[in-house]
Amino acid sequence: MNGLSTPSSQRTALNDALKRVGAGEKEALESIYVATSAKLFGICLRILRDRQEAEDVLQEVYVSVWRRAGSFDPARASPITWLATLARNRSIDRLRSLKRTAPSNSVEAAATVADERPDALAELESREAARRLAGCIGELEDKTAAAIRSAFFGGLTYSDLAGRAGVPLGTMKSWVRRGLMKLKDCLQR
Amino acid sequence: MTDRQYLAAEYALGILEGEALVEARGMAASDAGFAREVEAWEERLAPLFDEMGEEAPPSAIWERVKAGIDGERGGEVVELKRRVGWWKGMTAAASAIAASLALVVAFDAVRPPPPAVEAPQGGEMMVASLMSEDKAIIASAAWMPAKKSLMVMPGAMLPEPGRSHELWIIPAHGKPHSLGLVSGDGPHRMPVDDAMAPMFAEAATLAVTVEPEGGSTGPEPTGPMIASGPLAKV
Repeated sequence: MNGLSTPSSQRTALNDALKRVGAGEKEALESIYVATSAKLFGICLRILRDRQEAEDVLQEVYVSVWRRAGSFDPARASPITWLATLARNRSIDRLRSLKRTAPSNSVEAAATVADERPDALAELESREAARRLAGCIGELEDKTAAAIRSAFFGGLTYSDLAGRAGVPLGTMKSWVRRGLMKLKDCLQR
Repeated sequence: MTDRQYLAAEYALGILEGEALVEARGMAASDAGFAREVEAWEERLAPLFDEMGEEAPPSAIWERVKAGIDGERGGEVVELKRRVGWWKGMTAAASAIAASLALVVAFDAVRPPPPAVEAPQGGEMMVASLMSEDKAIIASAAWMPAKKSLMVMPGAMLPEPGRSHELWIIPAHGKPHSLGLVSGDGPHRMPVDDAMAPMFAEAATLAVTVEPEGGSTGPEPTGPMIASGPLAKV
């Protein structure tokens, strides 16, 4: 399955499964796992760049899905975005706690993110939402687009990004804020 | 965009740290309008997940997930005792709360220390950030062993009418002990009696439960736990 551009039948199936997980059905959690674990493992791997850590976080993510499914509201969020965001947030939390214990290592690892793979690009082209977002990010200044992508894919914070770019924190903040505003306008067009 | 809208966007992007992150987490947990803004940005950014690629995880992971949820029912309502072990394993979002704890410590430091009439008691300064299950920081706490008191800085915590929030300490292998009621009125100091002071050690957990107005009527919590966090040395 492919994340965000899932057909509506798949979305309906995930909504239904999450509702059943919220009611305590373990079989429903297994069906969510089967449908989404490759996607979520890809997210954990991409952010953490460490197989062992990614496996640990993936396990935590599904245990969280079990505990938190009751708070998922299909009227407000798409199920795959909810799941993918959970996986990303947990991965970033782990990345940051690793950074605190071993700064040199993972700062380097995080600094190499945001490389694009050709197959990912091809996949992008074929999807309307992804194509629009990529188009809007493409309209941003290169430095701003790079900062936003590094925050999303690498979990980098304002001070990480300012340090890498060699600019004051306030400068980085105004680049990113301007970028986010343009992005919102562009996506609304 | 307003500052508040920027904050929601930045929070969804995951770019925040320090006090701004603490603020955004508190707002996401307590302000439905802000939470909607965050969700809207999560949806806007979500197509980027398509770039992340997919890979089937090893089959052992599913077995570990099953073991992790064994004996638990799903959904939101989970009894305090069963959750304690899980919460203990959670690492605090230390960089995010460092700023707020620094404030707590500074708040305390401006007062002159009491004259040292006796040797300082054993024990080290400990801190905890109390998070809800979705990792929103509900309160921060700092244990001051010399003064036998706990500084509590509540974030987003307003009990419903007729309810109170009660703070507990749970030693590594022990039962919860009440530390008293906490309110959302800014930082406050909770004195801790001599018998309970030794409980402030690593591997102990602080937790907040919802109780009837005035607090639990018995020695143990009666209501659901809304936040918890492990004590850690500074």
